[in-house]
Amino acid sequence: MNHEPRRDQLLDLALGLLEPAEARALEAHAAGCAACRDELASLRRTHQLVTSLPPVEAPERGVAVLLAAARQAAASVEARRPGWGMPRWLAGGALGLAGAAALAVLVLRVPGPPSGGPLSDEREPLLGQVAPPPEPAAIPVEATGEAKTGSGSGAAPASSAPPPARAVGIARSAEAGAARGAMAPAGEGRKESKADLYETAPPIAAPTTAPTAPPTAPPTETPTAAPTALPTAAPTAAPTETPATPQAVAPAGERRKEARAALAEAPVVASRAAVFAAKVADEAGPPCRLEQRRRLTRDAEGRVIGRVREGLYPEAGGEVSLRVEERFGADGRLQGGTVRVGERQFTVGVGELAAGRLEPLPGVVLARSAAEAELAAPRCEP
Amino acid sequence: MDETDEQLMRRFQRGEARAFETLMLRHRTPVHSFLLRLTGERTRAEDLTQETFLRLVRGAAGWEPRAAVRTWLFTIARNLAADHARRQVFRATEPLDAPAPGGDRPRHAEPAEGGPAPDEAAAAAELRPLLEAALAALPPEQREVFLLREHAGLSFAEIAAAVQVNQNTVKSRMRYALLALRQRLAAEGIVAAGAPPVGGQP
Repeated sequence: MNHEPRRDQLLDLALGLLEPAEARALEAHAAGCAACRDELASLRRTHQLVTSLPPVEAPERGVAVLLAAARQAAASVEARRPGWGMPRWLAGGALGLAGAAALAVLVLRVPGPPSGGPLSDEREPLLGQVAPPPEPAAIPVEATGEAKTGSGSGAAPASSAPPPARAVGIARSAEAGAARGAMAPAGEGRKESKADLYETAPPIAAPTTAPTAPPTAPPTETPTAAPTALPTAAPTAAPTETPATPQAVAPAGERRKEARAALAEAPVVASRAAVFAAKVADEAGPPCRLEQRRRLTRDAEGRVIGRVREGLYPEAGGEVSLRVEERFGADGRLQGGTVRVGERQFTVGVGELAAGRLEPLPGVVLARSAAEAELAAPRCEP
Repeated sequence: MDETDEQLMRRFQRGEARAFETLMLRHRTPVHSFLLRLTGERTRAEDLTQETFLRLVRGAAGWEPRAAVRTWLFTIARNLAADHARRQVFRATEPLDAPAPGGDRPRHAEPAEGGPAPDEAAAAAELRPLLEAALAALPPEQREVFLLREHAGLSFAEIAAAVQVNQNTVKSRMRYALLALRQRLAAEGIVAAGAPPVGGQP
């Protein structure tokens, strides 16, 4: 009898790939063949050992965020029911505040991690900013006092305990990350063609992840490139042809006038925002002109500290590139941002934040918080 | 007694956030374990786990009952990890795909809770870092297939769809994975080296 094909068969047997009849026959053979028997025993033992590895529990951190996202999505389903044909994610955005409120409720509902568990003092990035908790002991609240004071007097309630040293470090790394995010060229890391609409930048934990150009780095990563507008996915769409949005607050004409006025006042900067081909993830619904691409930057703890959205902004006579960048502090609050439309740039700084002016252009709204930035669905029309 | 994933998903589609909660609590640890063993990095595994479930939320409305939720989840998780690894190649900060030979053990070796009897558990706890290291040392394309099959419980057809290769390739990767694992564990003296029956005469 030839043993040559047996090896794969023994592997298949150990892996449970064989049909019962085939398996029985091979078992019978192995019973009378020492080499096959040993081989099979060794393979089976390996298989059994490696497959018996226990699962590794996911940390509690993040559960509240997911539940809030689910609430928001569920709420948008509810909102759609009455029959006003609002796109699901538009509804989600409109219900942002409701979602935040839901999160506040959820916070009280979420069972805490086991007492004394390694995660029980883990800072939950989103909880502190939503609502003051009735019981500070029950909920991990961020101590944000000295980390970020620029965001106004209405600071989040700080826990009585002094912030752990770690928190300060994180705040710093978050700042560094935000600064880096601001400097990063628009085209960074965009070489793969099969890019998703949504992607998450890697944590900024290790300093080695700083943009040290690897030898294999694509040569086009330098920010010198002139606006390299890639062909958009919808070449047929006439620029003036926007989908009907009957629920829009102001008539489209009004808004456009408003936008023109705002744009006229904005300073001109050198445009380096590249517009990427529309690549809309299937789950994101219809193609989004305003937001075709989104990138979240996170710190080592997984908190969102920056977001960049890129798309097209309709202007009189055509569309121009739109790049919206937001920076969030370690406390999750918006620290500032820039909006670049074509060659014009708007800056949202301390003054605007204090005044609550988060919509520098019609339809271009900055997220108040990292949570909102992470969860909000794309806004599709101004 | 328990509702199926698909029933829960239906309820979530109808606007019941609680159904998602059940679904998430059910699958979070398996997905996290999978991602942790696939990437070998705790922070990344946590991030990707989070992103996987966020995508489930975003994609829920478009889900259709013919797709098993569990398969969908692991496919999302696998694709996120693969995308991440691809980007990592460009950044070239760490060779995720090529663990350093020897001595490079994952940092996630803690004793399991509620495992087997104390003696056996002690032995298992001792072995566990070695087993994790053996898994981590597999080439990524073998590791993902092996984990999807043996830890996530996907069928070969499902794995083939997720990884976008044909089923025969999936099976052959499984075989190579098992051989490589055996070789490594045999080198550590954990299993017998086996007697390759190739060429022997009965």
